[in-house]
Amino acid sequence: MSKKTNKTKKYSLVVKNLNVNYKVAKGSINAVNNVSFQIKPGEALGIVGESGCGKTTIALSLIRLLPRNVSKLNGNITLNDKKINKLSDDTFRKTIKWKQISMVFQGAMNSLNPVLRIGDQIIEPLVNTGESKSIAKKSALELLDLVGLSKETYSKYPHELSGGMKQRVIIAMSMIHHPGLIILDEPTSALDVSVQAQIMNLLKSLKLQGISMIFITHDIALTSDLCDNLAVMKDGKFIEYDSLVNVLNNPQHNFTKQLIQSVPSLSVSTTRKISSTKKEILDFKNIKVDFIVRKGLLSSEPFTAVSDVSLKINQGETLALVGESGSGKTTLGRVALNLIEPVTGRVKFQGSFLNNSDDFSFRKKAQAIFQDPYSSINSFMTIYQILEEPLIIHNIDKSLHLEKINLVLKDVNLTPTKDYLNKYPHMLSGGQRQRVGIARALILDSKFIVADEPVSMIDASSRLEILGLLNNLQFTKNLSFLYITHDIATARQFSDRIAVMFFGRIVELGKSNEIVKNPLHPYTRSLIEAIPTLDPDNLSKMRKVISRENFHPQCTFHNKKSNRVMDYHLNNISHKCRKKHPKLNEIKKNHFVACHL
Amino acid sequence: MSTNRDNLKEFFSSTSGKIGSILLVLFILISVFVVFTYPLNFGNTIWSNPAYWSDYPKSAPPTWISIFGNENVEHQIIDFTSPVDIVPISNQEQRLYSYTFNYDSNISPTFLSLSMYDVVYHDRPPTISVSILRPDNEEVLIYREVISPPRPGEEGPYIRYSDSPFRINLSGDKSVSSNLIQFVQDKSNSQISVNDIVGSNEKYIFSAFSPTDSQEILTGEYKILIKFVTNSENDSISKIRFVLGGSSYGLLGTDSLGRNISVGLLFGFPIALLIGLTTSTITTMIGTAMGIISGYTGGRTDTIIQRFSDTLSNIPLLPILLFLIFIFGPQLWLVMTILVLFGWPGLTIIIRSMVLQINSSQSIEAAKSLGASKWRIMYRHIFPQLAPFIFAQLVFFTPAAILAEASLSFLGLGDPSIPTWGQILENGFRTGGVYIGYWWWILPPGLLIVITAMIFVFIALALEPVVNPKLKKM
Amino acid sequence: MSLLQTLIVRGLSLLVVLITVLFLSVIVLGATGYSDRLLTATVSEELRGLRQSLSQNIRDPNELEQVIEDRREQLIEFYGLDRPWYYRLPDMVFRILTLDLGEARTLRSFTGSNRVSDIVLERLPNTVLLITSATIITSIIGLYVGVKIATQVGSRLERSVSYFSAISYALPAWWLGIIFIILFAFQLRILPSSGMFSVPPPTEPFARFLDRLVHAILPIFTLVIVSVGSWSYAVRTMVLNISQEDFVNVARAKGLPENLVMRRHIIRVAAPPIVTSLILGLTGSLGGAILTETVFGWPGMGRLYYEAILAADESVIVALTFMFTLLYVIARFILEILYVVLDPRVRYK
Repeated sequence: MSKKTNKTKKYSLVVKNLNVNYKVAKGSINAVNNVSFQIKPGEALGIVGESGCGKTTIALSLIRLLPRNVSKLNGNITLNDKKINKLSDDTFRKTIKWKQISMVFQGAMNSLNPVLRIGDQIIEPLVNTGESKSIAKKSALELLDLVGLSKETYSKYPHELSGGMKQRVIIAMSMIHHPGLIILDEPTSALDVSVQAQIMNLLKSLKLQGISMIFITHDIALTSDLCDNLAVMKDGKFIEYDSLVNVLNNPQHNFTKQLIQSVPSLSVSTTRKISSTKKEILDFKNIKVDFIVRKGLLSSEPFTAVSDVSLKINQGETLALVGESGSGKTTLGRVALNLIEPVTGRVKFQGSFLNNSDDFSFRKKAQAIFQDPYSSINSFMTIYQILEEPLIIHNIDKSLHLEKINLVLKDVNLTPTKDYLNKYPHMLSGGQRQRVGIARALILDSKFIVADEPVSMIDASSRLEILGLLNNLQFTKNLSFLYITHDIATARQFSDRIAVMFFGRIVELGKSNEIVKNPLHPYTRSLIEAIPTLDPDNLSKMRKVISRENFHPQCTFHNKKSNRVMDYHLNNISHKCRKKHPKLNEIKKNHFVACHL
Repeated sequence: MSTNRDNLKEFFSSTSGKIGSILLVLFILISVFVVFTYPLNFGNTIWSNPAYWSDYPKSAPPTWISIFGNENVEHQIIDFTSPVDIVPISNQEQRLYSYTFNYDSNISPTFLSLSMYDVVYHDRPPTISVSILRPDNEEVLIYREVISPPRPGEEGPYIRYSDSPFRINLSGDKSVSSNLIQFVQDKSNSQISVNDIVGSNEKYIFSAFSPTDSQEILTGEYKILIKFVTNSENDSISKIRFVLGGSSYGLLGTDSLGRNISVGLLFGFPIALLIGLTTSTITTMIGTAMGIISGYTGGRTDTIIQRFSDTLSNIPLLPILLFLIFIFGPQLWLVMTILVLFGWPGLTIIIRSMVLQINSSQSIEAAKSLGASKWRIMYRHIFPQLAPFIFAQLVFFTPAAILAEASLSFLGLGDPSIPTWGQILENGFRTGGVYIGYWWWILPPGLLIVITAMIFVFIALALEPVVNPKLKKM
Repeated sequence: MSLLQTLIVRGLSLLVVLITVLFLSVIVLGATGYSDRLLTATVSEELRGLRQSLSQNIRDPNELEQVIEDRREQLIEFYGLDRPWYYRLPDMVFRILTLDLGEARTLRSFTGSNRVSDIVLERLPNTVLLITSATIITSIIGLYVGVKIATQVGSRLERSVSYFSAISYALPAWWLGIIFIILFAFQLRILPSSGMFSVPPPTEPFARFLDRLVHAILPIFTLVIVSVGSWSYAVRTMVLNISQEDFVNVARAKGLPENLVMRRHIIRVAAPPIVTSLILGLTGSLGGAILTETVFGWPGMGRLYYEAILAADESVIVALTFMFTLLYVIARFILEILYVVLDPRVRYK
């Protein structure tokens, strides 16, 4: 098989009346119900839906990887005017799979074989069709370059790569036969926003080469970056299927409208009633946190998670701590809760310094809301027991327990409360569980709450509700929040001030609207640039983002090697920060930036 | 996550769960029966006491094998307590005891024995004589004995055989042979000496003396006649026992010492359950506690526990167990202690890694930030998450303990004061039971060990999908 | 961590195990007075030899006694019998390490020697032969069956292997051995019941080899039967676990033939955990060997253990405990190397 000539082959796909049923313990499930669609050469179709709606099943039936418990499968699949659904399994495997249709699976972490080298995994399909290993290697190296990875990656093992790099490898792997159609099943799930934006850029560039795509996602905001047409899927059916522009501008179905509304928009300005006073409730002073990382038998070296952070939170205020994974934001949250002690620096809470000896009384004053509604509440206890736990720990009079629990359940809108008291968490939805988590944080009448990504693991439809609830509670109870999130868009909507964290430091701090409208630090700009937005114009535009992967971890703003995506950074600042960390300076009133601007 | 009732339902829905539970209930019932009916010191006073078993046939197979057409002699124990007739002869008194039975087997009894219990006399020692009236109307005198006379200085009444009965093996007794010799010579018309017949006296007593087949047995009605001659009517004997040794015995036969194997095996039920359940319970408790403490506390405690359990769990168990038991002596509690000592680290290592996973879960972080003490977190938040797994481990470790004790017993290091299935099997093996073909001595104890272990394996199997829901899909 | 470093760490921790066992046995021996008895026996043995050789030269019985008495005091001091046992700890450890445990009370080696080291070392190859052949056969069958049933979950074969594996967990090797002896040696009369050679052993080398093979069939068969079920089941579970991983799906999507997917993306990945479970099964097979040798009269260290217990020969027991631990540690280390070679994640961490 020659490579260069095939690079521009154009593919069209027509799917008619696809039906897939699964056999389960009680009867069967209609996973895909009479779905029809077509993809013209070079086009990308987006399929959006919540988990379990059948979107992955469509992908698996196109590439014939359905699980064994399929009880019914019919419909017509035509690839380039050739009916492919009647081909024998063996013919399909030898002629279609990966050669004409390939797939990028969700879960970059697990899509690579852990005991084989990257290169061997990429060239495997080519070698298997009789190509010589040296030629295969050459084309693999070309592909690695295309997806922005170095030559060295070829002989590495998967565990030596980061999540984003793995996803790039997988994309390179899917291109080895230069297929005409690539199915992308949630290619960016579990990746940071910056990495997500970079992967989307990469996919966009591949699309420009003329490859047809099916882009499957739960996040409608991503589709406008890649797709020409959009299908919204619910319960196995396409409830909406039209061109992207039509769907976005004129959604027919309520579910679609709901999805579109749940995308935080940066253009709409928000008005938050500012109730915060000047009196600070929490005061970080030069906080530094190290973790010991074991290397080998005897040696270990400290890893600095948070360095030199000074920050104040006022009473009644919500401060959003925005950063990507590994930025140290969660660690800082744990410092605020006195769960870990900083190596240097002090934390002042309500005017007095925190130390471990008066731990217990502090525990009553500060509470936490956690990210995962499934693992953050103990599944062996009833809702009553879960909410009673803090009361028992803090020796609250037993006769008051039921009354307090009822009150707090009302506060979080779990009514009628008696319906919930004896339920176990597994009987509740994710959103309801998170309400229980919030109730637990409220029951001791604490005034300060650390909310660590409280909505990132909840279905898009109930995210805004939960955030709205937190907002209301803040005003009615005069609470102060430290809101930790990776999502600068929701941070703007639900916080008074934003602090952007990068490599354990705060790089920019200011009023939420100000930060988003007028970001000064290159990383903040990149973060904002990376936010997926719903705009048909996105199709033609590359996002200028930088991500952690482009930096050397030891030196904050020092790039590892010259890299295309670094241009944005380098164009905007001098190279001073290669030598010295910039200080956080007040550039404008209440707007601090750490950059040698 | 599912509720306890669902779990129970799931458990009993599996075949192995049903079989395991039914058998376990049965075994527990048998154990309860044994605990209430057996003496506590069964091992020393009964099982390991050869005198207790002297009237039993040696190495006899179970009686039910006669179904398969094997020649069989019923084991008969005949107790005489009251005389059928009392004949005064001058100033003496002759008490006559008799018993009639039909003998239709064509092999002779395996042995004959006589025992006397509690003889009391006041003046001169009484005499006892035993003879048999054969179907051919020959009365053969087998045995005659004068009860031992007063010792010098002893005052009457003279009490004899009260502590332990006086027992004589009639088959192997030379005096019996000399009593018989005249009768045998007359019947067989040949010169046979006492030495020729001693040891198999019973064969001659029951012989038809057929010229064609010397082994042929005279079948028909036999009558045992025992005369007890005393000098005073106050003299007494509480019981005379005459035993016709059978060729088979009981449900599971006897061993080479005549011990009733089924009696020994019954005693093994509570012992096996005790060994298995106690050892596994203690092991699981220690293993769990150590694992949770190690995983949750971290730091130096963790390192110490980890190193300790790493090393201990790496020691090959059986050799070290053999060594320690050999040095310290075979005692059951010691075996159990060592099993616990070397058993907990394995569990600790698993529990620790599970706790490390739970630690990073947000529910623990939540409990910490609520101010829960570390003991409360371990007990109320970590332990419940592990509980089903721990229970399954407890069940799974039970057969291991039972098998370990059995192996030890099999290697001759069983506690002699407490008979176990392993020991009974070892006796059979060491006596060469395998080569001679004493299957009833070898198979049942082994089978019981296997079944007991199997009960717990079955239960563990049925628990597995409950404990580990991921398996359900597979 | 480099490859070498990883192996050194594993090696060290196994060494700790060996040393622990050594010290444990020495302390137990010392505290219970066994070591005193052992050494006293050694001393009297030496003196007996001395008396024999001297009695030819020294005629005067008083002088002879005097010389021997002097020598006795020397020896007692030399062995440290004049001091409490814990002073002799290092010495005892060294003696066990070198198997310098004097003479067995009643046991003799095949060549008639009564030195403990002779007796034990002579049996070592027989045990190693038995364990390795049984382990290799079990692994091969287990791998084959395990992979086979993993591809047909729910089939009759898969279910019967699952049940068989559960049953074999409850099946002691020694009892199964006895059943096999009754069945194959006494009922069917096709295999010898015990020993390693016929009596008298054949002299021609090939016949000798065949004879040994025939005698090895039953013990190896027993060892294989008790472990092959759970082994296959473990392989099945690991293969199933791996085959649910995403990368297996990816490999299938890549259009690779099923046998290549199985070989390269499932079995190859399952290899390290399979080795781990081999490691975990190691103590079991060692114990199984002791019991199986006893049942089949296989003249290895396990049978020797049984004989030593019956003869209450403590020095042989000490030597055997050490040798079994050593055997375990060595086998364990070989598997650890295998593991490290198979799993790049350990190699390059």
